[in-house]
Parts: sequence; structure tokens; C-alpha cells
Amino acid sequence: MATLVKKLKTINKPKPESQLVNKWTPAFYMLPAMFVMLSMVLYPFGFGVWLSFTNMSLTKFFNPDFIWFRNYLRLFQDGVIFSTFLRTIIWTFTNVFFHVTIGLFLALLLNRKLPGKSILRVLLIIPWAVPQYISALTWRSMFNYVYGAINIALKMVGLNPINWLSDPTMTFIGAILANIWLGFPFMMMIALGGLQSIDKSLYEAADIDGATSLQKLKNITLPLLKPVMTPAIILGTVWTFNQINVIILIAGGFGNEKTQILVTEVYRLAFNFYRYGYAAAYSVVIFLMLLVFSLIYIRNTGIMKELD
Amino acid sequence: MKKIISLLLVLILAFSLVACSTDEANDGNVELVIWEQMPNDADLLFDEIAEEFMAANPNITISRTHYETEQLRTNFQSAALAGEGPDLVYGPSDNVGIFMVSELIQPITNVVSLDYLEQFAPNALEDGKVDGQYWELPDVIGNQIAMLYNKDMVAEAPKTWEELVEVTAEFQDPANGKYGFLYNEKEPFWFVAWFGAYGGKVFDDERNPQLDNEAMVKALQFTKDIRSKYNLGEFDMNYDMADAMFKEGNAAIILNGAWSWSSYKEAGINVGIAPLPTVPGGSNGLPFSSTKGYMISSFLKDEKKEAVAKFFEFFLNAENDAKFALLKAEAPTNLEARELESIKNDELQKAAVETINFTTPMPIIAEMRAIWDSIRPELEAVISGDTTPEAAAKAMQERAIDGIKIIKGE
Repeated sequence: MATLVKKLKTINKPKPESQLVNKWTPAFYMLPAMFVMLSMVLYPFGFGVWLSFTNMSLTKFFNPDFIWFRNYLRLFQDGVIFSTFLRTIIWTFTNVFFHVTIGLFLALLLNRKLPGKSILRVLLIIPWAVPQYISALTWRSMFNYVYGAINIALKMVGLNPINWLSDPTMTFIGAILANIWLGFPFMMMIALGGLQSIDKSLYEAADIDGATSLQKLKNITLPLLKPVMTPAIILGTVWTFNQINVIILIAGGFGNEKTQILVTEVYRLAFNFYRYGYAAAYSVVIFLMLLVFSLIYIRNTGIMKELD
Repeated sequence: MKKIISLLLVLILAFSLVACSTDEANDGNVELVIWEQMPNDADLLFDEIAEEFMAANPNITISRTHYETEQLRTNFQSAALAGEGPDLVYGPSDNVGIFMVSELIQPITNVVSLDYLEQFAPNALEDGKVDGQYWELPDVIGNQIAMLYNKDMVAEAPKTWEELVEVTAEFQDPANGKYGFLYNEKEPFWFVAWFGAYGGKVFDDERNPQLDNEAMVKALQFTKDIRSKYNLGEFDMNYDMADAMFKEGNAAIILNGAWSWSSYKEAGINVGIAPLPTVPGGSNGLPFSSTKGYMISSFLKDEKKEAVAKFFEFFLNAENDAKFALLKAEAPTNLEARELESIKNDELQKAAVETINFTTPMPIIAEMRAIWDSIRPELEAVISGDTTPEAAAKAMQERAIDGIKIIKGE
């Protein structure tokens, strides 16, 4: 912001009527946005952190005690968080990996000359356009043991039907499959936008030098897609990490802890078991994990440098 | 700089003015805010009755907001934290335990007298009673599961499990999508009926869970036997599929709750409704029943108490209570309403009253959450053959104890 103020100042310097525009002007324009940020983000966030130091629960709803770090201690003593964390990592990594690879692959296809491209593009966006709720419930029906489409297909090719919804491991895999299907259109759209902004002359130059299409992909397409894909991947990671609907809808509730990831566990603790303080501590730990991830990712990719 | 400060002040003033304007003027007019979780047709009926009520009481306005079950609970909790929220909450009685422990609601006797309560069915009032206080004024009692049989396939309701097997066996043909008997076997709400049939009760008198016992083992074994021994039912059967099979005439007998009964009539099925049959070596399947009703917020202003009492008298009089009951095959709680011709002559109401005798009230204490959460995964594991009934019963009990500790914040 400081640089912005400086820039504005230099622009306005020669003008005599600069009394109307002084160094506070940008701040003034940002006031409404700041107000919204403070009341909608900072305050709830602070409240959440405060909550994590209290023992607010059903029996301590109006007058919770301040118990310092006891929630956090308990969190790590309980130990469930470690297996849930591992599951969350598997969940996030598999999902984002397939979102990006499938999305990128389809974007590369759509970026070529292709018959019926516009229809294909609409079809491929459908998973994204249909309300998540409906898609997830449809997937749940497809996982049914006797009448689900997936088991029927498995039987047709001579394989044994899989017990998707009663075996926690299979339920978890099923949720991953459903979420991959739900998530790739977003990455595809972003990648497609990035691809279309790449200068065609680069490819022409590469063609003249006799580059193979693999070399073009490696040396032109991917590096130039990086600035577009990096924020999308960060976003995708945070979204997937915090994805609550798909798991709950596919698993049909919170019953089995072997299908939970960190955020669904927090939801379960807060709204099924009414352990608000403990759930808040859980949330703060999740926030710190995501913060560290984002910082490392931003530093290693150098994506924010231009904005400094 | 000055300009900014003055602008800030103006902003703050403007905001506080907006905040003030929502406070109502004290001119004898009262607004009753009610948050409800009613089905759509009950909403419409509510609005109709509210119009009549407001015409009769011009100084009282009723404003109604609809919420789904979970949202009603969480929104009420967060509004109450800020000392705000509705004056009345309408919903299923299992909210009572949660709202009461966290001091969100007050006993209804703060507004109405015990004499007034005498006109209601005692077992319905009992459902909303915790620690010797009545926390809910129920308008309907029901929600129980019953046996639904297609009269075109099964002439008379089987009374015992053996009879059921006998009359349904000929219809069971899963390869062609036909079934003699189907139900939602993985859902704990259905399962507890078998647990009850073998004499199980989820809590003892001290509110401790009691899931690891003979009744549980027998109930789990019976659930398994339905498919493996009696060749009925279907693996991974869920609610919607059982529902659809029955509506299409592809299932002779299913188990479903009072909320669904009218839909089968509408689907043109010649449906009979009867209590669950007796299970081998046990009594009749004993599902949970529960009430729905009004709860009073702890933050109700004193000047609104009279209006609330008037509201109850109007909405829960025999005539209006019967109207609500007729919507969903739930029995009215107003005893006088049960004597009205409209109730007596209604087939679904008759079934509701008949089957309610083969139910047990669902515990409304907050600990119940832990019971549901402990039954579900173990029941699923038994059904898919991953564990034995004995081991599952033991694991359920452990889960329930852990869960209750968590809820109590221990």
C-alpha cells in the first residue's frame, strides 16, 4: 500500500488543487472494504481463536471457562488427529493431482482444432455446473451394491461387485472418485484460459527449430501456464482440504470416523457433539497447516513476486 | 484527517441508527417470532391459522421463519449467544435435551399453568419432560415406524415373524427386482426396533448407555438372519429404494415411518398399516416414537408471555390441533381432538393411534447423539460381515461411553 500511496502522490504533485487529494485519499477509498474485512473476516477469526482457548460446550454454553492450551494438548494426546491428518493428505493430494492432470489434458485437447468442440466444452463443464449436492447424491446411488451403476458395470465385465458404502476404505475411495469428477472442470477452464493467452508465434518459432510436440509442451506450454495454474492449485488445494459436502454426502453422515478428514471431523465435533471450544482448537490447527502450506508454496514458486 | 474522522463518525452513527430501528416501539403491540421446522403443507396450514389468530388478536403479529432441522438448531444457538433469536421454536422433541442443557429454552410452565396442560396426552407431555420440568408443548405425537403391507399381495397383516416369512416368501425374487420384505437395514432408527423387541433399552435410569447386552447381540443377529436365514430383504438397501419398490408394487412388505404413509396412498397402493411383527424369541418390534412441539426461548420478554399463552390456546385447541395431526398421520396430543369426528373417521389417524401403542419414547437427552453415532458403524460392519454381533455390541458400548464423555465435555 505504501508504494501505491507514493505513486499517487507523484502523479498528483504538479497539480495545484492537490488539497482534495492527499496521502489519505487511497485509505479513504479503501475504508468500506476495510470495514467489511474487519467485521466479516477478522472479527470471526479472532472469535474463533478465542473460542479455542475456552471449554465452550453444551453444558458450558453461555459462560465458558478460559482454559489456555488444554484443548490443544488434548488434541495431540487423543491421537485421532494424526490418522485423520494422513487421510486428509491422501484426500487432498490425490484429488488435486487428478484435477490438474485431467483438467490440463482436456484443456490441451480442447485447445486444438477439434470437431464439435463447443459441445464437448459444455459437456465437460457439466460436473461443475450441476449443484454439488445433487452430483454427490447421484454418486452415492451409483455406489449402491445391488442397483448402483458402478457395480452393474463391474459385473458386466466379469468383476466382483464392490461393497462401496459399507466398507469405510471403499467409501473413502468412492468419495475421492466422486470429487475428482466434480473438480476437474475448474482446472480445465483455468488451463484453457491460460493456453489461449500463450502467443502462437512461440510455437511457430519452435516449429522452425524443429522441436517435437513433447519439447513444445515442456518448454513453452507448461512454463507459460505456471503463473495461471499456481494460484489455481493453491485454491484447489485449500478447497479440497476444506471439502466437507462430498465426504458427508457419499458416506451418508458422520458415523464412521474412518471416512473423515480434518474438516468433517471438526464439523462432527462442533455440531454433533457440541464441543465448540475443542472444535475451534482443531480449526486453528488446520488453519496453521494451510498457512504453512501456502507460504511454502508461494515462496517456492515465486508467484507473488510481481505484486511486491 | 479531520474529514476522515468526521466521516467515520457519520458511518458509525448511521450504523447505530440502523441497529436501533429494529427495536420495536412499545405501544402494546407484540410481535411473536417463531422459528419452525414444519413440512411444507403444515407451513401453509400454520399461516392460515395465524391469519385467524391475528384477526382475533389485532395487537399480536406472528412472524414465522422456516428452517431445516440442523439449521434450526445451529441458528438458534448462535442467535441466542448474541441474546437474540425467536420467541418460540417449533421442532422435534430431540432438540429439547440440547436446548435445555445449554439454557436456551425455559420450562413451558413459566407461561402456562399445570391445569392448562391437563388437556394433553400425558405420554406426549412426558416426552418433553427432563429433570421434572416440561420443556416442550407438543402438538403431535408419532414419527414411529410401522409395517406397511400391500393388501393386493398380502391379505392380512402378519402378527409374528414366522407368519411374515410364510406370506412373503413367494414374492421374494431379487434377480427380477421383486421382494417379499424390505427395509432400510443400515439405518439405526429402524434397527432400534429390533433392539427394543428383545427387551433392550439404550439408557438405564442413570442415563448410562447399555448397548453391550444380550438384547443387542440378538437384535444384530436377527438383522443378519433376515437375509442369510430367512432369505428376505436386500443387501445395501436404502430408504429411497425400499420406498420406490413399495410404490411400484415390487415389495410386499416394508417398514417405514408415519411421515411416509400418506404418500403410498397417493401412489395408488392398497396399503395396510400395522404394528411391527413379533421377532423370533422376542416381542413386537418396538420402534421409537417422539413428539413435535413448541419450545419457549429463555430470552422471551415478560410482556410477550401473555401473547404466547394466547398463541398456545389458539393453535393447540382441539380443532386446530386436529388439523395439524391430520396432515401427517400423527396423533394429536390434545385429548379432546382425538374425539373429533375428523380424527376418528380418518384411516391414517386410526393407524397412527393403533401403532403408537407399540412404540417406546425416543430419549431426548443430548447423550442420544452418541448412541446413534455408536450404533451406525458397528451395525454396518455386522451387515457386511466384518465383525460378529458380540464384538459389535462391545464396540458400540465403548463408542457410546466415549461419545457421551465428549458431549459432556469431560
